[in-house]
Amino acid sequence: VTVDVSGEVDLSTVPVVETAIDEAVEADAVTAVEVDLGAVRFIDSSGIALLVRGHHRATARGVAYRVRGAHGVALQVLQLTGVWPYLSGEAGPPGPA
Amino acid sequence: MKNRVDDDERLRRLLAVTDRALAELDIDELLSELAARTRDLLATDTAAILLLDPSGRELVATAASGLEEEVRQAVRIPLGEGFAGRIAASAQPRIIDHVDRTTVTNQILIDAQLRAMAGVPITASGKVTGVLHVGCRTARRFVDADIDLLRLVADRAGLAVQSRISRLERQTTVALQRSLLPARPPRIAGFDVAARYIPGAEVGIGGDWYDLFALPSGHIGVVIGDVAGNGLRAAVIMGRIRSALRAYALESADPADVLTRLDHKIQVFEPDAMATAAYAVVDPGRKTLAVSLAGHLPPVFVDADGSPRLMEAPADLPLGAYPDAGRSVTTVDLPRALLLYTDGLVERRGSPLMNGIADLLTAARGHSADELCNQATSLLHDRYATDDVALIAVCRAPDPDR
Repeated sequence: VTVDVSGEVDLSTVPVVETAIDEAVEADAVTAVEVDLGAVRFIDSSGIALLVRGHHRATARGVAYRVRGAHGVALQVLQLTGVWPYLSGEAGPPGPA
Repeated sequence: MKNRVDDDERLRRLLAVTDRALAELDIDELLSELAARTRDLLATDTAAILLLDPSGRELVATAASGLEEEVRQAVRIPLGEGFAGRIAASAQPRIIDHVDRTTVTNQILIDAQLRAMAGVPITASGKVTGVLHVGCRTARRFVDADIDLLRLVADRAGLAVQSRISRLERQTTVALQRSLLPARPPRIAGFDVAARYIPGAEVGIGGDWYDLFALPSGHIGVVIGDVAGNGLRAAVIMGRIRSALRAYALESADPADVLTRLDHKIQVFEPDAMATAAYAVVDPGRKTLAVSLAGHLPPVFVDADGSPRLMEAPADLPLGAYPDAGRSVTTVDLPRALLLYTDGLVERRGSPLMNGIADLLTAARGHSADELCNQATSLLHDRYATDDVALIAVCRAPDPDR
C-alpha cells in the first residue's frame, strides 16, 4: 500500500496524514506500507513525529514501512533530525552506540 | 393560540439569555440558567445537564433544575449505561415513558419519582460532549417537537462548553508556559544571558523551551528544545521533559548520557511524544563546552573577533523517536558566545533551510546576549513565524558583577 502525501505537512495537516497512514498500516492483509513524500514541499517537527509514529505502529503490526521521495526542504529537515536513514530503510533499528 | 405565542416568547427569551451569557462565558451559571429555562420552556419537573469528563468515559452532572441533588452529589454515569449514558454513547435522542431500574441506573431519578423523560446529546464539532435531559412526575408523552426544542438548547450548551474548554486550555497553556520559561533566566556569575520565546502566528504556544542552570558540580547546563505539537498537550509534555532533563543533569555532566536517560524516560512514559533538543554543558573551569544534539539544529558560536559560525556536530536522533539511539558528544573550546534556537527561527516555507541558517549567521552579531537575541529575532521582522520560536544566548562576560 502506498500513501501519497503532498503539500505541507505541519500541525494543521498532521491529523489528515496520520489517519491515512494509520488506515494503511491497519488495513487487512497489508504487508508493506510506503509513504511517498514526492509532492511534499515542507515538513515540520510534528510531521516528523507523525512519520516516526507510523513506523512504530507498522513495526508493531509486523508491517514493513518505508518513507521515500523526500526532497528539498523536507529531505533536509529529515536528515538534520537524523531520522531519515531509519524512515527510508537505509539503516536498521538503532542500537547502543 | 395563546399557548403558541407563549412558547415562542419563552424560546426567544431563552435564546436571548444564552447569546448574552455566551458572550460573557460565565459557564456554570449559563448551564444552570439553561437548565432552568429548559424546564420552564417544556413545562417539565426537572432538567439536567451532564458533561463528559476528560477521560471521555463518564458523564458528570453539571447543572440541574428541580434535580439539584444530582449536581450536589456530582453524580457520575458511565458511558453506555442508564438513560443519559445511552444517549451519549449512541449520540441519539431518547424518550422513556417509565422510570425504573430497567431504564435508568441513577437512583436519584427513581427517588425523584419521575415517570417520563426525554434527552438529547450535547455535541461540539461532531463529538458528544454531554447530555441534556428533562423529566416529569406525571404521565407525559414527549413528542418530536419537544426533542427539537431540547436540541436547540443542547446546541447552545455545546457551543458554550466548547468555548469554555478552548479558553481554559489557552489560559492554562499560557500560565504553564510563563511559569516554565522565565523571561529572564537566572543570573550566573561570569555570564551574560538572554532568552526569547515567540508564539507562532499559526500554532500559538507550542512545545519549544529553553533552560539554563548552574549545577552543584560547577558545570553550567544550557538547553533548547522543541516538543512536536502545540497547545496544552505539548506544553505539559515540555514541562515534564524539561524537569526530567534537569534531574538527569544533576547526576551526569556528560550531555550525551543525560539525553540518553531522558530519551529512555520519554520512550517509557511518553510513548507518543517526540522532541528535539540541544544540550550544552560548560565545564567548571569554563574552558570547554560539551554539546549533544538530539535531532536539533546545531548552535551558533560567536568567536572572540565577533564572527559567528555554525557548530559542527552530528545530529543524533530526536528524543522519543527510536529506542537505544546512539548519542555523541562534541567538545570544543568555550566560544565567546553561543546561541541556541529552535527551527521556527530559520525555517521558511519554500526556501531551503540552509538559506535561513545563512541569514542567521549574517544577523548573529552583537556584544551582549540581549543584542544577539535581538539581531536573531530581527530575522522574523518581515514575516510572522508560523511555528513558535525559542532562543537563548549565553555570552562570556569577564566581570559582570563587579
